[in-house]
Amino acid sequence: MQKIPHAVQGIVIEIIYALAIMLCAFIIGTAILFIFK
Amino acid sequence: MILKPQIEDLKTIGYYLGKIIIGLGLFMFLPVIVGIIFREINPILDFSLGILICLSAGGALIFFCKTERDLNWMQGMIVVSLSWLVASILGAIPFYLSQHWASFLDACFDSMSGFATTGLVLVQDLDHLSHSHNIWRHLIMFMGGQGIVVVALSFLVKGMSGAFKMYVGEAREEKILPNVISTARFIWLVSIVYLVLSTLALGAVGWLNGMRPVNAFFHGACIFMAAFDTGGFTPQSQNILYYHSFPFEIITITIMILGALNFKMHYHLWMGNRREILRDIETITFFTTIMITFAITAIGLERMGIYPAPLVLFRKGFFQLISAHTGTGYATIYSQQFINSWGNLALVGIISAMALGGSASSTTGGIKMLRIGIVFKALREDIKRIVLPENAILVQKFHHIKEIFLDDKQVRAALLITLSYLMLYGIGSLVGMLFGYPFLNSLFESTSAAANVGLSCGITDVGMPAALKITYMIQMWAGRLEFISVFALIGFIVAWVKGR
Repeated sequence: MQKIPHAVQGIVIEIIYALAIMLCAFIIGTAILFIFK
Repeated sequence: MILKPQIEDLKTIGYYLGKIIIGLGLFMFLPVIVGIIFREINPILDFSLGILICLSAGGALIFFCKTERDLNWMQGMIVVSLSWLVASILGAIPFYLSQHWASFLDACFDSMSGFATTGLVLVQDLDHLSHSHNIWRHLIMFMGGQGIVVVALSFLVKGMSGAFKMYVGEAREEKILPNVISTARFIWLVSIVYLVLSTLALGAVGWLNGMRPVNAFFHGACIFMAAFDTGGFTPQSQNILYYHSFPFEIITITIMILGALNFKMHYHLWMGNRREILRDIETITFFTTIMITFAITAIGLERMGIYPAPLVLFRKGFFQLISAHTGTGYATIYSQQFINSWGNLALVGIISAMALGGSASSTTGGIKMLRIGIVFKALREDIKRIVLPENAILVQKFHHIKEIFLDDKQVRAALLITLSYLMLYGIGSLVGMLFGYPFLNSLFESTSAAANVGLSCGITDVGMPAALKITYMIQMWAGRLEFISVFALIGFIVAWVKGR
């Protein structure tokens, strides 16, 4: 029975990982636009 | 001395190949159901003929090659490499009958592109293709992403030992669970759970954006299948640009990243090992290479001055970058824009991302993060060895689900496959240049085909030379199977010709 909460946690962590990648990329993109302006 | 294969070898290969062809034929019943729902008579006939051919061919192979023998390594690899070729040809039959493809070669190109999860297309008038054919395009991509053999393993193959050999031959060297059939079923479980969640999310966004509910969820399912399996087919010719929606793009990026993760990583995270994502060599390398290649692309785009606002740079630059890195091939720009507007530096960023690919034992193509991580780890250790005193003892380790000691054998294997990929990218570029295309365009398209990405800078077109179409098809096939099964097939043919 404990498998389902673990799987839900796993899904949440995977989505957070994807969102973290997007956030870092957005920051890098913004920084590049700002620095090279 | 090379030993000539025996007739028993052929029978064993034929028997298992027959089972996989039967599996393919059974899958064609799904587009028939879709055809009944949407009342599409002609497509139902197209698929009925496809089913008939698959069941007859598969049944004949099983009948004439019936054997109780299990597969050996060589046979397992050959079954895999042949099954991908045969599936591409048989899967193309309904496409060709629809008359949306100019020739049977074009239909085979799209079928191979689907099975290999590439996404390059030669279909004409996609916007008026039937629902049945559209679902078949996405279904073959889904099957290819799971692995045709994984599909067969889940339902049709009983022998454990032979099953494992075919599983390895399909470029999935890592077993998640001790039993390979349980592994195949776990891969299905992950995919089905995300299929439900993502179809609901994408369908809801499409619905809120004004699409009809049935269409919104149909598109949601199609986009999920091609994004999670990092394929890149879309139901519309304008690709993701069709939806004009930032939330839709964010969900699609998330699915692409999830599809690029190792199924073993999914398993450990779903079992409660939360810290794995922060420690594993693949997730760290993946994160790092995304940031480096995006920085290169962003600098290139900034120099061209086409996306001056941060959000636009993210929506256009990062979307294409993550699509390239995960090997999906979705685009929010037109293919000609890569060459006409992006400039060389941004293209180098995209080509590098395509060449690198996602995680091992995922649905992505390309060199893969585990190999890149291992090569860099070895390089770092070698530099350390030079810097440290001669008598210093270096313990070389990396974390991939567990702590693993780095040895020369692993580094050699990683370098050999990396080199094979680089050669494959190079050969395709050379063929492109022979047909008169510029270097960067040829390299872009060749890398896209061999790394199973599907982004195009405009070369892939109905009018391109047939030899180039065949070259890209071979690249997609060899790139998807990561060479080993292809080398085994070549070895088998050589043994057949030269053996005694």
